[in-house]
Amino acid sequence: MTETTIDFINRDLLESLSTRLAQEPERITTAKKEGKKVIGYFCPHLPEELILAADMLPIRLTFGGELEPVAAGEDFLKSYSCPFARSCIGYRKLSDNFYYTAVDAICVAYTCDSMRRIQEYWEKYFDIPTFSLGIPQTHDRFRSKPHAKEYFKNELKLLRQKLAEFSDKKVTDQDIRKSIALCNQIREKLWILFEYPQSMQTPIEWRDVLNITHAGFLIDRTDFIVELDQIIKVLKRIKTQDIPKDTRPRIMIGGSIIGIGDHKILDIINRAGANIVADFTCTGSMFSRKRVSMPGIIGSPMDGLAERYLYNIPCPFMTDLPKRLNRLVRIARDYSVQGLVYYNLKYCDIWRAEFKFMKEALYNQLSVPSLLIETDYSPTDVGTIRTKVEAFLEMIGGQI
Amino acid sequence: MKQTNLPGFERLQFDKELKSFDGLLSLFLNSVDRVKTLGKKVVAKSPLSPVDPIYAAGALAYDPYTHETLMKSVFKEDYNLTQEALDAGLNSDFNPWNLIMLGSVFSGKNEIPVDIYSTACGCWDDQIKKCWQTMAELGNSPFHFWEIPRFEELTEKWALDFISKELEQLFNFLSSKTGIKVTEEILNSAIKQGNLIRQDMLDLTRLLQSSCIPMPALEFYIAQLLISDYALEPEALHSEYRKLIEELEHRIKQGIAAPGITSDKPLRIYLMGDETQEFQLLNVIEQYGGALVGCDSRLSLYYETVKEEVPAMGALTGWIWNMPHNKPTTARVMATIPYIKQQKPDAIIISNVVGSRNLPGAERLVRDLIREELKLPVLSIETTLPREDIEKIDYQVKAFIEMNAY
Repeated sequence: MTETTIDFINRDLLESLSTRLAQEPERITTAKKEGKKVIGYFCPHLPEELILAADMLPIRLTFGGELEPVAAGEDFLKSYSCPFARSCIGYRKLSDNFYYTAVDAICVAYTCDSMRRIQEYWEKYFDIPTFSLGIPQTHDRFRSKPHAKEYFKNELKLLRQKLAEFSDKKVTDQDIRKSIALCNQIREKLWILFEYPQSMQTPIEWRDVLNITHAGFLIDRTDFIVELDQIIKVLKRIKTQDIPKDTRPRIMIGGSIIGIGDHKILDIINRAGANIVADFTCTGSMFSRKRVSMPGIIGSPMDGLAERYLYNIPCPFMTDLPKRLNRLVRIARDYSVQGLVYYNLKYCDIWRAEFKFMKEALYNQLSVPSLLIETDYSPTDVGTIRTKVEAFLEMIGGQI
Repeated sequence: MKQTNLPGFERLQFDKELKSFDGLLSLFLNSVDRVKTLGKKVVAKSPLSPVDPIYAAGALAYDPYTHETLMKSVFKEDYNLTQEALDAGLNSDFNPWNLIMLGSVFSGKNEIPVDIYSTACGCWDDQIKKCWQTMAELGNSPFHFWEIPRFEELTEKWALDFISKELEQLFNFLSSKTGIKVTEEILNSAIKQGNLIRQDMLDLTRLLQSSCIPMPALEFYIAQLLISDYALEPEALHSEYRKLIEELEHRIKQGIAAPGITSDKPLRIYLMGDETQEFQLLNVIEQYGGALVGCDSRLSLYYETVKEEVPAMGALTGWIWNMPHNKPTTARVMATIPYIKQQKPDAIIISNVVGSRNLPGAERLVRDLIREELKLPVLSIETTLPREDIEKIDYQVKAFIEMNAY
């Protein structure tokens, strides 16, 4: 059985969440026995509001960092394909990660090549229902393609219909409004946490906020809100002026997906003496950014979903590079970032092709340097990466 | 042949008796001069991006992915351009076709100067999209993406509406650059022109159904690849294809098989998957007793003609959405199987290009589906740049043909 818990840093603060997370497999098993269905999904472009509205349990399947699932996934995907995608298939094949075996169906947003393959292999070889969602890839921030949103709205409606059929429950607009409200609360609370590391005197580190976000992919969403409230309550009681200033170099991590358990690069950065304060990844702050606008009584909640999930900061499978660059620079500015570590999972082409532009944008606008780390889940290159990171930190003037 | 002066031709065996193929190849090799003479705007587009909208706007469609790779990598054996692509921000583990293309364009060494970049993108190849984005960012030429949404029958209504609006925006963009407004009549005419070429390729492929296979593997493979590079000019390409078809029909009437086919009863092989740069594969197939009876590397561009008796925009929209490569793997394979069956193959070779994530990602699925549906033996091969993998391929193909030959 692979590790399905999360290694929190501030264990006192996050003890309750950790305990709650450990109970999740048992709770899900009980819920399934009572007839509840579990739906897995991978990309943040898939609105989990629709799964919740259909009275099913959403789980974002984003475990990573382990070698065995990657090797198992090679029975399906070539060795020169994304290790995260191989893992997504490998975990299911190995059947030793509870969450990948617990799902009754998966939803796949048509984002990158790898994601599409995951759907195809799960459908064919694991005999599990899969529901796909088409997403326009070439829209832009100027809304020059209004038909893109219309198309996406229709795709969301179809997904809503399929999920309703699968759960055997009529999904009303009211159900969707409720699930939007729930998810908006989660996003807002997570965002409160992500803002803490803007200060040099933060009671919570970015890595724990990432861990909390990851936990939220797995546990019941209503319970997650209770946990978030409790964490925020504790944090608000702490007098930040009493916290010593953190003088370590301030690093932003950006690039490919950082899965649950994929902490190789994060450990290397921390152990080299740097402080990760911000991110530009889809399992980090990009997941909780931007709430869904709730329409008035006569408006359709599907409009709000289409708007939020199409025009949030786009993953590079979309073509709007300038929007990504603007956002990247803004995060770097807001968090007083001194360097970007660009984490590129090998064979993740969509992120790799943009490194040059991101590096130039950060340097030209903020004089912030970037370091490209191309790696996979193997430990063989830890030494090389450590040397690179240490040299990078030395270059930006930090202490090692 | 004059073209044999190029180093890449030295190790390839052409059918010297197939005179009309010389004309087709010369058309390709001389396309730089033709483009200059024609004086039209050149629109760079990706290989499986349909060309009819570009014709309709009065421009030439140019496929740098195919054109630059054939010229630079396969024929001239100049692989230095991959380094240029790395300088442009790509990684060495990208598909070498993309590396050569981007390297050529980024270094300004592309054979044909580009006026406009415009390509379709959809659910089939992330690298193409990223390469075009990079070329747009680094170059100063006007640029426009247009999109083909995923194929799923239940989504037809809004998917067609989406494509239709995408095409309208594309026409507006192209018109603003060429000065030619795309009307229904002009589009209809462009479709008719495109249909001539599509029909040529359908006819050419049909000839390979014959028990006496008249066309060598290498020549067919090149002829098919060239359909995506219309910088050659459609009328001229159509004319060369017709000459080729006539010569091959004559061979069939005379009962003459392609001279490279060494066996009286060759193993009939259908080649699927990524387009390989290792053209020697095609010679190797014949050398060990096989024959090529079809290939799907550009099938999406000619799997059927566009309907002419209905409004042009609607016909083109539906045709584009149904292009085989736009479909999920299972649907794509099921859509392709009737075309494969027509060619009466005995065996299938699936080509994977190391670095490509699209078709190699689905290779296991394709292999299993083909075995289930066609009950044919399947060989999966992997190639990169020319010469790099030929020894391995040679052994694989030889063993495969020996095992499955009559």
